[in-house]
Amino acid sequence: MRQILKAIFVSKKIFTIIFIGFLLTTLPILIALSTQSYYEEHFYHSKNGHFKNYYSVTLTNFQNVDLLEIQELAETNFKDASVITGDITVTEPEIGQIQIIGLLNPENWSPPLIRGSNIVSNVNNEIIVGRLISDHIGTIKVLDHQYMIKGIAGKDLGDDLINVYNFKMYVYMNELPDSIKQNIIKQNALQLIVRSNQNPETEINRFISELSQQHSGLQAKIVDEHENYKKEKNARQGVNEVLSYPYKLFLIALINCINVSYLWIYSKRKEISLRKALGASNFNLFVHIVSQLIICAVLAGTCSILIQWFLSILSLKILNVTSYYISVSFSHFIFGILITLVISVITAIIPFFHMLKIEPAKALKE
Amino acid sequence: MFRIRSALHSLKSRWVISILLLIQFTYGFSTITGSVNIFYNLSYLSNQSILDLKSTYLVVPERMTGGLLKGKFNQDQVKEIYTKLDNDPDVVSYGTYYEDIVMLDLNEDKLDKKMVVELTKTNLGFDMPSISAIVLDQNYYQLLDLKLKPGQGLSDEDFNKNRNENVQVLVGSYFKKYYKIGDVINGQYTINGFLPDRYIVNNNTSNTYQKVDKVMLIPMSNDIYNNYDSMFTRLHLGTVLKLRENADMENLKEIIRLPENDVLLSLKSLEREVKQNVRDNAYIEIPQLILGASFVIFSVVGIVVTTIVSIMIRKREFGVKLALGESKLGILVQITIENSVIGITGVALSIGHFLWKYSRLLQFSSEFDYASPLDYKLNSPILFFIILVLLVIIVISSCIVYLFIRKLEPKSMIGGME
Repeated sequence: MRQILKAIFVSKKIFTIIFIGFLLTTLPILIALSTQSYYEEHFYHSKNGHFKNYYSVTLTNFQNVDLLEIQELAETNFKDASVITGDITVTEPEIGQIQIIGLLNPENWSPPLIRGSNIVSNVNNEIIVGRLISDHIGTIKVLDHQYMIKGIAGKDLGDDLINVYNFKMYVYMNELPDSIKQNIIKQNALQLIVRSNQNPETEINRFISELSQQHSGLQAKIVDEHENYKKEKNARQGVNEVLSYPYKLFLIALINCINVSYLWIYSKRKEISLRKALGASNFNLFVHIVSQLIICAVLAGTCSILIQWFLSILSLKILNVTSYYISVSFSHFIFGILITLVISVITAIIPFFHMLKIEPAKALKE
Repeated sequence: MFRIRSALHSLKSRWVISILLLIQFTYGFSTITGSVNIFYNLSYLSNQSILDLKSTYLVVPERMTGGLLKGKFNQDQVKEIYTKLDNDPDVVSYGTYYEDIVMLDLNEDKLDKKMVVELTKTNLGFDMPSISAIVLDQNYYQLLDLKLKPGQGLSDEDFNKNRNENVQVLVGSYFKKYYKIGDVINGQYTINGFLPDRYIVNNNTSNTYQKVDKVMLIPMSNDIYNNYDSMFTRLHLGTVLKLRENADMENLKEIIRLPENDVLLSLKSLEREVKQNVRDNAYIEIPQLILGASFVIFSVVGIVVTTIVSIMIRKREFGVKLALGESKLGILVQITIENSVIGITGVALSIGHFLWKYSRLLQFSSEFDYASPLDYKLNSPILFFIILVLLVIIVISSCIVYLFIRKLEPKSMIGGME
């Protein structure tokens, strides 16, 4: 160990440059990862909650639709899954466009709140709204229907996550405004979204089967939306653009590390030749250079995690100004360590191949 | 020529690190091109408005509780507002405008093919060329104070004509290539001046503006000016005011509000809007600037390192050259040519990458010609700045390399041949 540290100290200028390079490879990756998690969360909040499985169930051809009946069936049949209606967009003259979401079993999921409490009763016209619909608890008229605002929806984690809920309104499905109910009856179609961390297929089938018993001729189309959501999430150009910069910095810094380590190995040709001449195997030499790089990388990795921790204190300010979200989590810490190890090995590969070509006699003669 | 051949040979001998450097240059310069575009646009927004930023205020709907309910009011009420504005001591001048599109008549003889392609806004689904137009009343024209050459510009008579009559118009500098003063477009619009390369407000509610280089300024016809529907819409969405310093904003807001109007009108300072836009976008650019600065530093380090390795690999070659009378400066020139080859190739690749990555945005920018931070393009000032950054990288790295070359001694370099 002492020998390795001594070797690093001898080439301190080169190792300083490599250290900065490692720092600027690890740090951007960690920032990119935390930013990516943030925007993933953002996406799933826009889909009214993050679950492993998403299914859309479109019910058509039912006679005498009774939303309360469907809601009660959902409450009894869905123990794990959360069921909501698809976003219903309406225009309220005083507010603008609103996305109304009917909740069928809010005990399994309800939106995060920045103020107030969840809705508990399906007979008192209780709703939860985004802060641009109303920023205070009280009454509000939406589509000629008087509601009682119980909570203000929004995830208190930067403007972006609060803004997702700005124009959303959550209400028990049986308490949707009359014009929406009439529209459902007129179209004879209702789209439900079933979300769950378990596989909800059994619950969906049981629900549809019970509903079909009461509505002969009812048709249900079930679509697994997981892949569609994934595609939609990956197609967000703005997010991809934001994430591309840390990855570019990573690539540029990594190339720099490889270049500098190449110079480092070249300047140590004689020493390596001597080691080869004295019987050191290629593996021994690889371990010799990788061990030095790993120490440098671990130092840089530790430093970048510390910097990230420091920046995470200002995360919301940084987010609002630059669109990057910086947070520290255990998984990021583990990933950071793995990255540093991988980077040090990548950095060692090209110099190592050069080292293999070194002919001791020729190099010692120079 | 010999030096260039030698440089290419040298790059071939260290092809792995040369390719790595090329990748570094490609991504680095591509990012710098994006950042330069943004800052170029921010500077343009700050300095190139036709309207005086400080004194210009735009009428905007602050809150809409219903649509624009024209039937609720009448022409006299709107006229009364303008009369009050005329008499208000805080108002220097005011005017109104609306946006329009002039579809070009393809049967005209003078239409240039290149112009037809460039003016066809495919993003709008058009398959015919069109010119974005701003139709302005006489007050607004006077407020703009365009300072054109004597004899050019719009006359009082142009504002007293009716729609479909022949009128004189002003067009952007883009049209200088295809038209001259006196030429007639669509058999109706006679060109009587070219606009300066600046931007103008084309939508009071937006924070992107219209560059006027591809725009036509048309005098508002008398019938439209006095049409109540148009008048009502212009009051809400197309009124521009020039105010004195420390104007009483609350009083002015009261003046422009129609009683019991569902649309609450307000005044927006153009300067505040532009500054806010510039500040927000400058902050958003911080990560790209960090990336750009890191790229410049890493490029210098990369070039220095690869050059030193290259010299070490070829120390006998350089040693012999020095022994035969080659100067150290000559070796530096040789090395600089090698680095320039990588640099220029990297810039070319980065431009290719930029054009590919932002192809849709570039097409959109070219078609709509908006003054906005995201108006991406590759014009000569942007290319000049990119070349300047490349020069800075090459000069700094060459200076550092020279410090290394200065210490080289032929004897120690050729030593291994003994």
